[in-house]
Amino acid sequence: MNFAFTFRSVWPRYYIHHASITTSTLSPTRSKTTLFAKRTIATKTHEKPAAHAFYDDKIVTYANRPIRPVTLSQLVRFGQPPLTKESLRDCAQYARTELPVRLARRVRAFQTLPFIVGTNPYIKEIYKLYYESFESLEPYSHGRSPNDDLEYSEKLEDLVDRHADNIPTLARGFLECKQYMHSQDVAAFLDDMIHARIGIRLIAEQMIALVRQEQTGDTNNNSYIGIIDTQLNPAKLVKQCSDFVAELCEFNYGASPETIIDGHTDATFTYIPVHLEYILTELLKNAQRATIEFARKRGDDSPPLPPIQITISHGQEDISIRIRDQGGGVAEDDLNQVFEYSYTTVSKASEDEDPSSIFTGMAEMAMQSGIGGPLAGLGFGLPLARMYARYFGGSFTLVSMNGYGCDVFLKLKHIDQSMAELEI
Amino acid sequence: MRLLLHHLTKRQPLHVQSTTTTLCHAQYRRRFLTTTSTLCQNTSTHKNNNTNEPRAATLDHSIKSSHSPYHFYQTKILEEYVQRPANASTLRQYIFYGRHMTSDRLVHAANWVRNELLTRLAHRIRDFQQLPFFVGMNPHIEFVYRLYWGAFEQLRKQPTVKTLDDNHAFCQCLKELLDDGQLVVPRLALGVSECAQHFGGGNSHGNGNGNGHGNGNGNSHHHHHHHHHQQHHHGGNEESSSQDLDRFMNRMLRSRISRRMLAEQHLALTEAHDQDWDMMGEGENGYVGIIFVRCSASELVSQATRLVRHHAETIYAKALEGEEGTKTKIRPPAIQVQVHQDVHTQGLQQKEKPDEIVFAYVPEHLEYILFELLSNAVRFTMETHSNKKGDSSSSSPYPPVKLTVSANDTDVYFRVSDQGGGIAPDVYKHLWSYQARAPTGQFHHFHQVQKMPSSINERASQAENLGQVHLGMGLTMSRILAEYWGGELQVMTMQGYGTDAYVRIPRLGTKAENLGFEDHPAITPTSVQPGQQREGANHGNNTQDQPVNWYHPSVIQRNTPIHKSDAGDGWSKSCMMLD
Repeated sequence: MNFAFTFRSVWPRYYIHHASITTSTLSPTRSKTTLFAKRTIATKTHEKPAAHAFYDDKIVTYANRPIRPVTLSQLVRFGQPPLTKESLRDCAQYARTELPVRLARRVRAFQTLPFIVGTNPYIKEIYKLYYESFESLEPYSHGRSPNDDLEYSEKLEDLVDRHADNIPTLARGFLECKQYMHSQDVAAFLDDMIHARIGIRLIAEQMIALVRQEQTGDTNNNSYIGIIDTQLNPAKLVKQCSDFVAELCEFNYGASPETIIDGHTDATFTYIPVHLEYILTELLKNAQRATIEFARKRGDDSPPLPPIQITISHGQEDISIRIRDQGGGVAEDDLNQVFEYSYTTVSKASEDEDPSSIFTGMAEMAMQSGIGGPLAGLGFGLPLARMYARYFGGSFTLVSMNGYGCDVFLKLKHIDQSMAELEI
Repeated sequence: MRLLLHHLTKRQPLHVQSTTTTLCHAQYRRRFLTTTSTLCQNTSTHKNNNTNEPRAATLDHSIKSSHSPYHFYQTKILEEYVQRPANASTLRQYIFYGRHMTSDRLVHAANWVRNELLTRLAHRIRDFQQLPFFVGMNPHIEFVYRLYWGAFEQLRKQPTVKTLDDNHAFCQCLKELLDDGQLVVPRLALGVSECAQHFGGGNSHGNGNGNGHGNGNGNSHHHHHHHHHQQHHHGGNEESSSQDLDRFMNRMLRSRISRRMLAEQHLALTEAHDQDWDMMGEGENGYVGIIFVRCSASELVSQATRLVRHHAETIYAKALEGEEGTKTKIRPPAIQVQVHQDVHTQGLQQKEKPDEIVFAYVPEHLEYILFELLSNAVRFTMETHSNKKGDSSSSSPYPPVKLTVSANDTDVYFRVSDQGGGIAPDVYKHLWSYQARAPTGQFHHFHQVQKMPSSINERASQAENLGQVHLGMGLTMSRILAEYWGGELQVMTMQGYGTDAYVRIPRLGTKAENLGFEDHPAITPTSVQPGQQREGANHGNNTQDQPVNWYHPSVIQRNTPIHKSDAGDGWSKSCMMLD
């Protein structure tokens, strides 16, 4: 899996815009146009009467089943080389039984929202999406046939695509429902949603990746076990993300600060590149934007911009990444807000537009994530990044020297066979 | 006066913009601060804990031993003072008061200081009395307890100060108490070491389950001590008792600093009054008692850097040279200092040196903190890279220690970054806890130390005498000092690479002293009405018996409420760090 693929699965809209700057080795079946078409069709599926759900006890049945916790080491074991049809079948079997349960729980969570909130079109859209996903996957949890696995995997790919923008859409919906729900309740709901979503996607993407690996007989990336890279080099990933963000920055501001990467640049560890990529990109976006805006605010236009220093450390228990900028820091009052799911950066103007249109969506994404937005850190980029960081027992700490800059410490535990207890 | 009040309430920097040369800080201290500076002795004769009894502890025979039955009833004396609230003041109030010193005010101040010291001592004595019984029986703890009682009695027996001569006698008493007070910390530390395992079962067990294989929650810096181990001696609440010792120590140390602050300030003001120094106007050298209104971040930093460098060159270099048997001179890691321009959003710029960061503070506090942090950074850098050989070039083979200083309207920030290999996770988890570290013998070296140094020069000399021995309290003391005026100290580490320490110092002088008020679960107020604050600094109604409080809010507007500390683990909530 190269940068382009992983990136695409997280930010399809960004990808489509920036396809030119990333290398693309997608298989022919997944061309851009197909993607585009799928996206618009998705939201026009036939409306199911909502009342139908009330008498449908499948959701409740599945939601009440216990989640069979999977350990990351088990996921790895599914894909342990040599990759055989048996292990693939095990993986598929696991996904088939597990995913409907988790999806059903998500549906239940929606059903427990206040009624008025549930009628909000954005929230309803995501709710229906989960419902339909559940319904399409549920049959597979019964009997099986040898061809099912492949078909199942294709379905999963489709679903992963369609669920790509859940969070922004939800965020927008909740913004509109501000007066109907306490912000703590919203935060709790989103926390659960995001946490569960990460788990669901992990299972799904691991299966998709393993199927593809087995199909293509891909032995080039032998460091990869599905979506897990056993030899992930953080320094290299930092460089990639930093370059990408620098381009965005140049596009928006006409300049970008230099990035210095030091410390244990040769260190490698086992991790899921998509996660780290997301976190790093968010953090680097914040750092670069803050650096430029702060320098400009102080009237300090003379180059060079103060560099961003990223240090990598390979410790006993974890990998630490420190991102140090001179972007003016975060004021004490704002500090508490940094991890809030705050929706203030969504402009009023874009509310009326068709949310399924790609181009407004992209601009929204950029706004919501902070570029072009008013203040540092307000959006959902940071809470999401923190969730990813913590997902496998890591941590995320921000230290602000107000008036100077910020240091962000990202600590990620080594994921290896010995971490048997780390459950998803 | 009105102008000054106006000046103060406008929250402008307090330094008077004059062109007089300021005395070199060290010179001033030697001239005006007459507290003793006898240092610790690093000889084996003091391994034995029967050091000389401090004068104060021998004052009254009846309190010589807490075993005496008389002792229980004698504590009634305490009641009067325990019930009073301790009055925490802000730096501005200290400065304002110091600048308006007259003979009359000096006499009143003496009485005020006396009462305040008695109140604060009484609170701490009550703390001791609340300790579990057998902890109080520990000889070191008992020593300190008797010391406090002696100080209390000595102060109480001081007559009300009515004249300047009375004041001088009072000052003499203060000096003695300051002297004796330097004995407190080493003994407390030893006592804590020995008692820690009894104070809640100890944390040495069950460490393996720490944060290693957690769920989704990451490492929180303000972690809660969840210990799942057997209860050993008492049936008390496991979790709260494990924090009790830390809170106890924090309160002790904070109160100690506060009493020293009161005493030293009064001594200095008396001295200044005697010498007829003009605290205001053009003649001012910047010192109001022990507060320096023109602390320059750069100067403080360069002084600390110099001391640390000297210390490293003499101590570590010697040790390393000896081991390797070479004559190559070992150069300690460079300390690279970057002082960033002061950022003012309210448009106020300094006329003299726009880039300099100047603020009012008690320099000895900041010096201590910087010294500790820098010497730790240097020490660990040298230890981690100990295989580096020096060469004939003048640059050091060690990766440098970087010190960054920045400031804005309200705070001054210091960041010390080193590449000393970082802190191991199990050490980091208990970095700020006395109790957790005590069972592993961390405070063992306090056997070699009799007195705790009170100035940076004393500290440096002590460090030199101790050589490579480390007392284990530097970091926690630094944090207590940083939090004293409402600042903070945080440490982040990247294990395998290095550590970063962050210090935030409020510069407006509007935060009240942090005396570490928390509700001690064991204290049951007797004659205090429910709802009335015991150890709060909100001024209740002044009773007639209390002397006039020159820091009463009717005199000066209190700008911020009293700084309530406690993020749940005995330390203050952070304003600059977020998990």
